[in-house]
Amino acid sequence: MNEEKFDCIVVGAGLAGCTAAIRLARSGLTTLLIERSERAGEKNLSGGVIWGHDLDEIVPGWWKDGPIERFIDKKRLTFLSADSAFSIDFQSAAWAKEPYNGFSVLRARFDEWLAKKAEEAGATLVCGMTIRKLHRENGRVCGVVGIEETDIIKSDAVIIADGANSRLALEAGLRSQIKQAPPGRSRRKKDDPSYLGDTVDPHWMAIGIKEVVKLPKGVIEDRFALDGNSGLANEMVLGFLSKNGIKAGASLYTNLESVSLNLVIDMPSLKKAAGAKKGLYSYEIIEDLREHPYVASLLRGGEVVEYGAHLIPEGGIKMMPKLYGPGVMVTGDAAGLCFSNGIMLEGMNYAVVSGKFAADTVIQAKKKGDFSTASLSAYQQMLESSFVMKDLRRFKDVDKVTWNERMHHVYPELLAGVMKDMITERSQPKDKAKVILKRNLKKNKLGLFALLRDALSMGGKL
Amino acid sequence: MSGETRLEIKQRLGLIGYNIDKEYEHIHVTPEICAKCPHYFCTYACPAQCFTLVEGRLVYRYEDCVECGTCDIACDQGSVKWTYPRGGFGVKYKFG
Repeated sequence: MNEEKFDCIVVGAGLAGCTAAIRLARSGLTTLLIERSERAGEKNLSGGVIWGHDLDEIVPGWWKDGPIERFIDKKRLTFLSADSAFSIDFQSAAWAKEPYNGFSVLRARFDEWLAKKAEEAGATLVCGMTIRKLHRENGRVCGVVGIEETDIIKSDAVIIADGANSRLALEAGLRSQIKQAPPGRSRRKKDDPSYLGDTVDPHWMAIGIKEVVKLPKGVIEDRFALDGNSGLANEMVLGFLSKNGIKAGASLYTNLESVSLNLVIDMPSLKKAAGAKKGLYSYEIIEDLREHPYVASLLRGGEVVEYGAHLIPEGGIKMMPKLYGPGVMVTGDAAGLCFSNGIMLEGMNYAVVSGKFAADTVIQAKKKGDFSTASLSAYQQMLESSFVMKDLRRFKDVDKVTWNERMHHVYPELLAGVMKDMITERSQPKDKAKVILKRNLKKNKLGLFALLRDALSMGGKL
Repeated sequence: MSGETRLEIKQRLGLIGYNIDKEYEHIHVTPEICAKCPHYFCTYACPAQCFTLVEGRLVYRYEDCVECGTCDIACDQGSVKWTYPRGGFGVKYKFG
């Protein structure tokens, strides 16, 4: 039994948790940061690029002193068909100078560093402890249950930052269980004997798989045309899985001496393929990706040095749990704070913002001596008035574009077909663009009407 | 070029550090439910090949789990129950 009581306990030393702990400790609150890995950072994985400067006010100069890999000044969107790649490429000198716009990071290193900053700020960091249960008194959360049932650590408030699979948000009753719907039914009913808890749309969780490919620094800089520590963020739409009906995206980010290759698979389409005997194993798809001629040429000679996976809470506002309850708040991935429109993929900066607001809410609540639901509702208000919730609300239907069937299974082939027809020299009279487009639309069984509708949908939702 | 740089999943899992908990399995399945599963989607979805079919029977191992939680969502039959390993155990990334 621990008699010591903390002002706040933060569970999970990722970006949200570390940010909250730094902020709390710096304003003089006694803060306990609990992490289940032996060393902070070693279970954390993301694509990953941190966009923007939300960390500036938490750790000034973090992008100068912290273990960042490269600043991103090149952005590319690539449509991969079976054997081709069509890219939209953009770079800006404005992003190549301080304070920069985005940074590639490797989380095991970055988060360990950030957790150290929390300790330096005065927070107590405890590693190697999995928290499965919150401690409640009179219906209010006021601590956590440690390894033994009797091992209660008390606090005025708890900030949940235990990631995409948040067990604590479930335990707190703030979030429902995310499950694939059984065949033929969209939702399980409570009186169903196989009821597993409330189910939500599995579209909302995508499977993220990552390989870190080691390449010499000089090779990376020459191959990707990088100046010094500049870097490329290359998002991809994978059209080459169309014959299996699997929808997937990918990204390739340059680090200092490695490249992060990330695959994002839409789970329902993977399941449909399995059901139709056209299934592919998720762990083989990333090898297919790495062997695609476009990716293979970029990674030639590279050595895979790490493999990993992480769920991506892509559902945004639709999968968001209740963000607060009496004595408790949910942040970061645990709160589903993730944004993706195919071109911009953000999660880490949203985690930082939510961690900051959760901490500020606790700081205010401490002054008032009020940790009730009403008092902690300030957290939601802060998020609502920030870009985080405004983005998530404004782009709530963006999944209809990013996971649009045609986006994955028609447009990459269409683009490749048009480009090939325009550029392949067959020693024959060339067709006009209009003819080529018509022919390729027909080949891909795409009507002008559907094309127009998608264009309008993109215009409206992106 | 196909196949030249391809790595078996076992080779890739071999690149990851683990601290395996010999006393606690953080994945549980109910074999009777799995025996009747119409799709064995877990075998396709799990990025760490923790679920495989051996002679038509589902076999799982928790030791290779990278703790992504995919199986917990993928199983629609109410069989797979996944949670976090005990503190200090499980996957250890060098890069992340």
